[in-house]
Amino acid sequence: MIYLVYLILALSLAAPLALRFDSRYIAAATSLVLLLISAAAGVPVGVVVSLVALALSLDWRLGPFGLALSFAVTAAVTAIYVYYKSEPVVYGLVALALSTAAVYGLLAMDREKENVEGAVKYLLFSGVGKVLIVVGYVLAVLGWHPGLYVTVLGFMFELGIAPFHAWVVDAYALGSPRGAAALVAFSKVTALFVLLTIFKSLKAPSDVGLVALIIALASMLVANVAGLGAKTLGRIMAYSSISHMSYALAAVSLVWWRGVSSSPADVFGVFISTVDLAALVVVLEALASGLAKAGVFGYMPTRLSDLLPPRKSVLNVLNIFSLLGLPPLLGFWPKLFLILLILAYPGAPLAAFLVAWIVLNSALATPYYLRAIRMVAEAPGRVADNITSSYTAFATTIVGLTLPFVIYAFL
Amino acid sequence: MEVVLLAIFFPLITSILSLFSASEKFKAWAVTAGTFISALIATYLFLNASPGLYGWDWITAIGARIEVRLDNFSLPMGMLVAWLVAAISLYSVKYMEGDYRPGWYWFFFGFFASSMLIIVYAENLWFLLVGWEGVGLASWALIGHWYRDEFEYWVGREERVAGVPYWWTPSKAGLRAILTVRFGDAFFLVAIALFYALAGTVSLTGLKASEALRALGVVPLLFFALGPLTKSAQFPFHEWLLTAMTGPTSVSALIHAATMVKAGVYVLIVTTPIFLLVRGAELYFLVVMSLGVVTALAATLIALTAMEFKLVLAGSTAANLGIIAAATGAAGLLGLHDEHLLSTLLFFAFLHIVGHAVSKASLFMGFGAVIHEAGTRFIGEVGRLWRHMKITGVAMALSMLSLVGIPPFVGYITKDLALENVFEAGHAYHIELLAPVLYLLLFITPIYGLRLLGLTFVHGKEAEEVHEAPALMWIPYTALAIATIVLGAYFAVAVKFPLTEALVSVLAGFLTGFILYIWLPGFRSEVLSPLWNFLYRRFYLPVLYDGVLPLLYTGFAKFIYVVFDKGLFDGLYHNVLPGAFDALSRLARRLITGDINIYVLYGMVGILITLLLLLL
Amino acid sequence: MIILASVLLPMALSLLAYPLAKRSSYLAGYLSAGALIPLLALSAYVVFSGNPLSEGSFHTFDLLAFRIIPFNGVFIFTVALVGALVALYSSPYMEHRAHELGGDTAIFYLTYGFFVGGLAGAFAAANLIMVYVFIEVALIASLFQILYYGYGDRVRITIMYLVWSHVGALLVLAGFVLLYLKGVYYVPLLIDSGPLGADSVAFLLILLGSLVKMAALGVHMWLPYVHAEAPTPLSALLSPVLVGIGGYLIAATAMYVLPEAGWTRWLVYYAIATAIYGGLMAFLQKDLKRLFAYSTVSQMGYLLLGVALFNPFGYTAAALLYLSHGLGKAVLFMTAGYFIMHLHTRDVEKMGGLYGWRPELAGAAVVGFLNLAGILSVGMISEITLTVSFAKYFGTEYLAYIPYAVVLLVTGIYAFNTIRVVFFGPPRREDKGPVDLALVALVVTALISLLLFLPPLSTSLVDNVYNTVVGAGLWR
Repeated sequence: MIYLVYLILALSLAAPLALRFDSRYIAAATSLVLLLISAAAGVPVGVVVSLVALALSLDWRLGPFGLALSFAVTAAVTAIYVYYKSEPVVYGLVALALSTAAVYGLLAMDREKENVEGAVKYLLFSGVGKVLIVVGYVLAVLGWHPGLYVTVLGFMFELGIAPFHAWVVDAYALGSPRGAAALVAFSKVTALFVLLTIFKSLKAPSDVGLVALIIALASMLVANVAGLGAKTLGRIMAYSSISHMSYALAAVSLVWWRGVSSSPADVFGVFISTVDLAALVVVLEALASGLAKAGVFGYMPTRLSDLLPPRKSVLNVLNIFSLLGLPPLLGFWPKLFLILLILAYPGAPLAAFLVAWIVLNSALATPYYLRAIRMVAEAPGRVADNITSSYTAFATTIVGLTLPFVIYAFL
Repeated sequence: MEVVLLAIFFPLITSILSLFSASEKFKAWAVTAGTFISALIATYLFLNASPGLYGWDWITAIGARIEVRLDNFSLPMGMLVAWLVAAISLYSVKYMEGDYRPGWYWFFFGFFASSMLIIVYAENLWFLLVGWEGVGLASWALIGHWYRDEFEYWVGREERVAGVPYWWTPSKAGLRAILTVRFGDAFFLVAIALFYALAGTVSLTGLKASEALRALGVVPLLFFALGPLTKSAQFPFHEWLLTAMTGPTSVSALIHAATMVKAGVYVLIVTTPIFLLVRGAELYFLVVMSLGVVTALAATLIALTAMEFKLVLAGSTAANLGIIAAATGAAGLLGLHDEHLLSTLLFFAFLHIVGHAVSKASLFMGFGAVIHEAGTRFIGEVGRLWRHMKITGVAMALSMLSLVGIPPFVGYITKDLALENVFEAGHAYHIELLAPVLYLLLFITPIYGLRLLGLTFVHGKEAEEVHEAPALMWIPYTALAIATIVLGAYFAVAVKFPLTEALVSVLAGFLTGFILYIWLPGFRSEVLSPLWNFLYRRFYLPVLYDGVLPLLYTGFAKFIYVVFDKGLFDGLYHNVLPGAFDALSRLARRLITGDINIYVLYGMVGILITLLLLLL
Repeated sequence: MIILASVLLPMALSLLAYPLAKRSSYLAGYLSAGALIPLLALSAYVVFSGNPLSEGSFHTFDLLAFRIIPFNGVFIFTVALVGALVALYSSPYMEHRAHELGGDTAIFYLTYGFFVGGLAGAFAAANLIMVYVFIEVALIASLFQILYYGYGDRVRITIMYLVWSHVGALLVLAGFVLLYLKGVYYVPLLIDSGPLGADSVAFLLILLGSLVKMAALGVHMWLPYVHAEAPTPLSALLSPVLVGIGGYLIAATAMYVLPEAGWTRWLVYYAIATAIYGGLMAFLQKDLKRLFAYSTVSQMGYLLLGVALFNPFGYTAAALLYLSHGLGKAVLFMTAGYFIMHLHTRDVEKMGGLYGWRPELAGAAVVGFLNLAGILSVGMISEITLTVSFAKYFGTEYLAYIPYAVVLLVTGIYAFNTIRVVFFGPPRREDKGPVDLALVALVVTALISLLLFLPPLSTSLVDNVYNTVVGAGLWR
């Protein structure tokens, strides 16, 4: 943990440097360091995430905002580290704050009017969310019963669950694509891992879980329905993000609501407690959504994402398929595990309803993902796959392919 | 004795070979050679084979075996079929010369012959079904042989009755044939499957010994009978046979004399000893017999009024098939009381297949030559052919007298023997109506025969530029015409020469016909003309088959299409649902106004909702 | 690893076919066809020798467990055979289509191997999750073919195809997951499992998903659009081989958790209704490819009927129907494609008298229809087996046979009527249809369907499948 703190300090000190050089090199170096730390600490998720930052920093001139990228990725890796190494939650909350500031900068980096507008909306709502998270957490730790409710409310803001989702659409569509990539790959990942950390450390009252579950289920439907008519890549990705975050929240809130199931969930003959399985769903959802969307945004050369991409990308087709949840790509597994999680609890009618709801939502999403595929595959320009899209597509495919074996081998 | 398989498959093998040559001559002679070899083998078998069963497993799961049965029915029938096919094949070499579709013709010719021989020899019903479907398919192919639907190959003239077209092009006639036959075959197939599922065997011998079959009752038998009844064109399924006249005349000869329709009655005969033992079989035989009698009478009346050469012959075929079916049913009915009689009675029914086949093959080929030479298919457009076609005239006269049952030709003997069955059954079961109907039938039969002969060869419009048919054509049919006398004499000696009161009505009919059409032609009657029309329109049955039924079918399908397919399913899935989601989507996207104040409002509302949920 | 390797080979080689197709679609076509030979050989070995092939440990959860027994062997054999012939056929067709669109055929051949390999994999895989994965692979590959080479409003059609197939696949997956929770990791039929006890939710999920895939009555609406507008070589694969997978899934998985024996009766009625409905609709169509698409709906009714009758004969019939319909419908779609290439129309009203235009084509098409109508081709064996199965099921309830006979008649009506309308009647063209690879491929397909009817091929084919099915634990 201490290394991460040092790194953050070092980055802060390096700020003046960023004014002189293209600080992408700083970002690259930071991600390499994070890569090493994660590898050394045995946190593979950290490796995957820090490589996204490396790819982004190699692809784009970031000017002074390289530093922001460095902070964002550091925050994400910190949150991941906190979760896996069971460090105090406080570090996670700090990381959350750090990432908000950094991503705000990245969203606004192209200095267009729209960029700034999107970034401000992000800052506002994400800020509200963070305050609620922190306040709620403190209250909950102090023993005030509804504290966790406030925290959950905060996460709804932070993750952009409907009806708190309006800012997500504007931030994705109006922000700079690099910023959007960072938002989805680092900020959301950070938030989800903080959620997991809290999930692990606090037992929530079940009524809060139920409320969160209902909101999450409604949110995924709203997002997928709205996505059906979305016309630009940025907006499609925004609705996709809302629905993915809703899946993640649904997994956690289900466990909060029903408690830890007495019978562990059966994953390919491996028995996993429902808590762990819900966490796995969240981790995989974070990775699937983060990687794929980082790939999609990471190849957009435009100043904002509320456009049709000007150039083709072949590899992002894989990324979008992953978002769609096609096996054996990464995006397929969290959905499958969510269904398995639902089925781990007794009560057939409820399980049938939840499974049907998830299936319906997945099916509903297909048309707009297909539109996204056509946008990237049939764009007028030449093929413009870059390191980011290559890496994310590769990671999506490989992680997806090997995941069942990994689970089978390690759990 | 597996050599029988050679007899069966030689025509098919040569017809497959014929596909690989572009030369029409090669095709013709290859298939003809195949049919002759097949005929020779069949003769050899007839003379030398010891009765018995021979064969191999085909598909054990469904009890299918490639198994043949050599017995008193299959051996003579095989020989008869093979020789008729060979004769017709030889005739076709000349008749079909220069045709525009030789590959199709010769392939299906050999295929037809093999399919029929399968039916003749088959012991296993699945194997029989192969031949059964084969003859159906081949008849479809050959009836529609002249696929370009030229006027000269039609049946009927371009006129409508009650809005329904009263003409039949070859392609339409083919469709009618195959669909009628498919209808029967569907039930035929079901019946065989029932036999296998419930009795565990489909070999004829096995079924005869099967107790399970006997307990099945009569319904499967009726299903089964639908196959033979449609195939041998029994009323009300006789329509296809009449319009089948669109095919080349050689094909008509093949269908009517040797294959297809004969397959139906042959199977009826062969299965009678088996079905005799089934509970409730009386009903089955009664149905077969009554349908046979009705068919015979109806078809005779059609033959009397038809205005096309071939249609007369087709009507007479249906009539004779009716007689055979009736004789078979009658044999079964009588056999129920006295099993010893059965084989003799069935043999009488079988004999008429032979008697009719010989006469009919000859007639078709001869009138084929007439149509070929005169260039018309209508009676009355050409006449007095006796002056130009002496050989043909004699041959046709002989065959026709045999067909209509004038002693001492073979037709008389076999028909009389067959009808004796029916008379007997009528007595035994006290069906009073039967005898008068049969007398009427016997009375009309010679009239249509003499009508055709008189209007074609003796009277009518003098034809120009008509020549005798080439030798390759007239040899086959003249030989068969002579065979009608020879066989007649042979049967008279070997079986018996029947002498019953039926002969009186035949001779009366002959006399009437002679007066009306040979001696004093030109009889007209206004009174009879509505009746005439009714018969000429074939009881208006085509209105049902070509008008009402297709209309109902298409109408029903269209109704389903519009209401369910387009309306309910397509509408719901591809218009209503996407439309609804589209509207919802627009609504959901309209939430994103870009105005941050409104977003804050959403946040407030959201918090309220969660609070509300929490408190509830 | 030999099964896995031969399933993956077409996919691997399709990556090679991509650059090759840029040079010549013929080379790519040959490569795509050749890539299926190992699969064809393997499945033919199993089907005709009766010896099953198996690989993988089958211990606990083995993703790489594959098994080919004669039952699923017939399905794989069909996929490989039709796939190889259609690959040959596709060369001239896709050249024509790409020329029309002003592009090249590269994407077609890139996805072709994935499509066919995915299908074969879905039949060969023993692990349920892998079955689903392979189905999705095939689905996505075919998606691109429609998107890039389809006709009409191809984007809308693609979405329709994607949504419907996805709904079907996800429902099946949900059912599989329920099976998982019972500790069933493998396709029960392939591991010779006994009945798994009633589970109405899993049964209904798999059934419903499969019915969507099969385009059974009521959920069939996507098929006429997709199969009519897909590029014809794909239609020739979609229609016969892809949709039939639903029947396989029901037979091999859903029936093992059948809640009550009485349910089969409703399924039987439903199957008959589907068969009649498809036949009626096919009769009305004027667009040749749409006609064939509805005929597929009808044939899926047959296939479903075989499964629903729930006895060894029915299962055998289902496998055989898949084969006979596969070959027959492939011939017919290839015929339609030949018309599109050389006559530039799909409208049957503009056809007529085409026998003389290309007799070999007409002959092959007739054979194709014979397969559907169950006359003297491998289709006849399927029909006989199906009928026996029907008789086993209904016994002396004679009334039930009448709708069955209607099914056969309805099929005969549209089959022979279509032949008449397309090939017979006064000819409208003086010229001749050209002889090309497409024609050769479709004539060969037709011939194979006839050859399979003859002993000893039909003997070993049917008996091996039947013996496997009879020995299956399902009837214990």
